[in-house]
Amino acid sequence: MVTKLRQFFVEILGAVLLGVAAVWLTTGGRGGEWSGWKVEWSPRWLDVKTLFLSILLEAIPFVLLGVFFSAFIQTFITEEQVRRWTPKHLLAALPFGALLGFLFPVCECAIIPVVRRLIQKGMPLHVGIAFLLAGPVVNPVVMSSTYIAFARQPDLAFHRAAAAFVVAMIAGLLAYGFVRKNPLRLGVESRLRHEAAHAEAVRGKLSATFSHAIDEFFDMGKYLLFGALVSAILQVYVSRETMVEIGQTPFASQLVMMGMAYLFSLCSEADAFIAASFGSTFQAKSILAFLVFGPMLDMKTTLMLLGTFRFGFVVKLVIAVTVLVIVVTGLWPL
Amino acid sequence: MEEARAKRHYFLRTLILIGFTSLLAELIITDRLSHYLAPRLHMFSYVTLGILALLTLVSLRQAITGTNAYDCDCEDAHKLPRSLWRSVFGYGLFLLPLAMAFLLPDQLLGSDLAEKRGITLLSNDVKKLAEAAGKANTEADARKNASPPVQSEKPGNGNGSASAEQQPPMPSPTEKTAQSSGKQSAMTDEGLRQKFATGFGDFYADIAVSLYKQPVIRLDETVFLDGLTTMELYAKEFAGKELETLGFVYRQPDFTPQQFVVARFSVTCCTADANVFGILVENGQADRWAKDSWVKVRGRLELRQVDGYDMLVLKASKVEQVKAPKDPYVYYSYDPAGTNASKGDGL
Repeated sequence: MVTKLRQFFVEILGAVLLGVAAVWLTTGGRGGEWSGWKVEWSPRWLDVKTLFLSILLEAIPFVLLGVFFSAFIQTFITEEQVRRWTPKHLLAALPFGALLGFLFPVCECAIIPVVRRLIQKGMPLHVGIAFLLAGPVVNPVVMSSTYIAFARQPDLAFHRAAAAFVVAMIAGLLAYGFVRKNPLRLGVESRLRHEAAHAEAVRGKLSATFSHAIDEFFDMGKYLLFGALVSAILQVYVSRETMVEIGQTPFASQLVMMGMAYLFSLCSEADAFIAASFGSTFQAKSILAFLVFGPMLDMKTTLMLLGTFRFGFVVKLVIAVTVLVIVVTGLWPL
Repeated sequence: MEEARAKRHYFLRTLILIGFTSLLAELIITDRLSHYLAPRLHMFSYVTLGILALLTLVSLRQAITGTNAYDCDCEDAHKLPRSLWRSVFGYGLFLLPLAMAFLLPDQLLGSDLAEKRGITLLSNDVKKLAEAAGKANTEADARKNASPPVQSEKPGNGNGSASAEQQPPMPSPTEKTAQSSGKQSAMTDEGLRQKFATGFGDFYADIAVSLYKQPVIRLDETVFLDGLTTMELYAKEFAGKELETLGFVYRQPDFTPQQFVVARFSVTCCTADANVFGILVENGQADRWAKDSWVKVRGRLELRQVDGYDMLVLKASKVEQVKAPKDPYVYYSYDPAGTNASKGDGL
């Protein structure tokens, strides 16, 4: 029975999907209103829907951007080139990685597929990590939106970029010193086989780019979806006041702000406006922690990272970044 | 067998992509995109629609012709889900937003979320800022320096034609005032300017002048956020003015039956970053209006002392039920220096 089900699973799902589409079309999109089926949806649940779809609609263009960029690197840039462009010396390579965001202003959803591809193509891990962490903060788009959101204290935009730069550099250094094993979930061997196979099979590079884009969209998409869903549920069911009540001491408020940054999973372009809305409640260092931590790690990106890197590595990365952000922003002269 | 399995996956993926493409197309066609995204992100959605349509076609080709471009053992690289449960979970996640979008009715953000977010009234936090600004002139200077490049694009820069252009819904307030030879026209622009030159920067002074000149201040969506900030800063000056605005009804447990807040959500990128702003309204029959219903309120601003700070309350003379506007949210204009920071009191 189960094997039968399994065999026809896709067909069944497809049929259900088509059925739903048909029902929706015939009812003119007013689901839940046709006779006998009138359901009173809880307003909270409808809010979850609004936030969930909203986060998705906002993130999907950027995820697609990252996906296409990654697919582009995959098909058009050789390992040779990546190796040649990356500085050899550690002291040059880390700032190079941390400042790469200036050239490729990608936000945190878009950067993960790009970094994964770059590392696969032979970029050293520590450079990739520096890029991964600093990229979504140290870039012109995010800096200008922060500047606008904090017009009252415009220097916060620069503090944000500088603090993120420092955190990313130290994290890169840690990766250089302590990570020996390839942290990507795919082994190097399979990657090489994969590419060799593609080199032969690919008919046109453009069509290959598109096929890869679809694969990566479904790959990354499920993590994004799950993260967005959890974030939407939390936003609807947990009140901000509760969080503020927890964060009474400076250290606690720093942790609370970081926790909120993590749970809200905001786009790094928009989070400064939210941070500004806490301006009168929390002190500057906590705001800075929110601004630095959020783009580096949040619910949806952690899940995306889990799809890219080995579990153990992601856990270490999360711990390292959390501690680094607490220490760096805690000591930051503000 | 493997081939057939892959084909089935591609088939399902195609269906999901069709779903996402039609969802986005539907939102754009029915103009409901603004329920989810701020206008400045709409352009991305149009591009995304094109890309999704293209991906759908590519995926359809894959489903029909099979894995011809992928006759490699890169299964682990592209990870078609192996077990039934992984498939259910993986594709279920993709189906969930589609099901929600197509089956659940639309709901504008309302009181429930406002309660979780905490609402910002015409209240004291901005006053604290104002005090600080008064003390530290350097800060005011900084803001002044930041404002000039945007001033000309902002509504209410004291230039009648520009403000009329910026706010089409307003029946060009300046001309009206110019015609009515009441007390106010005796006060020149310069005179008004003096009145509001109290060190909050040109930006707010300009808005204050343009609002003050209107016989009945119309706080519509184009000036809602900036207007609120301005009236917070100049509470004393605006006391006694007539004001008309529109928003949804929000109540807090500690409100009296005569009170409600007429509120709007502000959205920066998507509704996940929505914040709530509003004015406290008092009216004898305030409890007649259900929470989350949209109302148009007109009345006189009254000055109150709350916790030692001045606060404006709208004594409503007229409240009428209206339909929610097509675009229910209000937006920060992306580039005005100063406004967003001063709205920085979300709790």
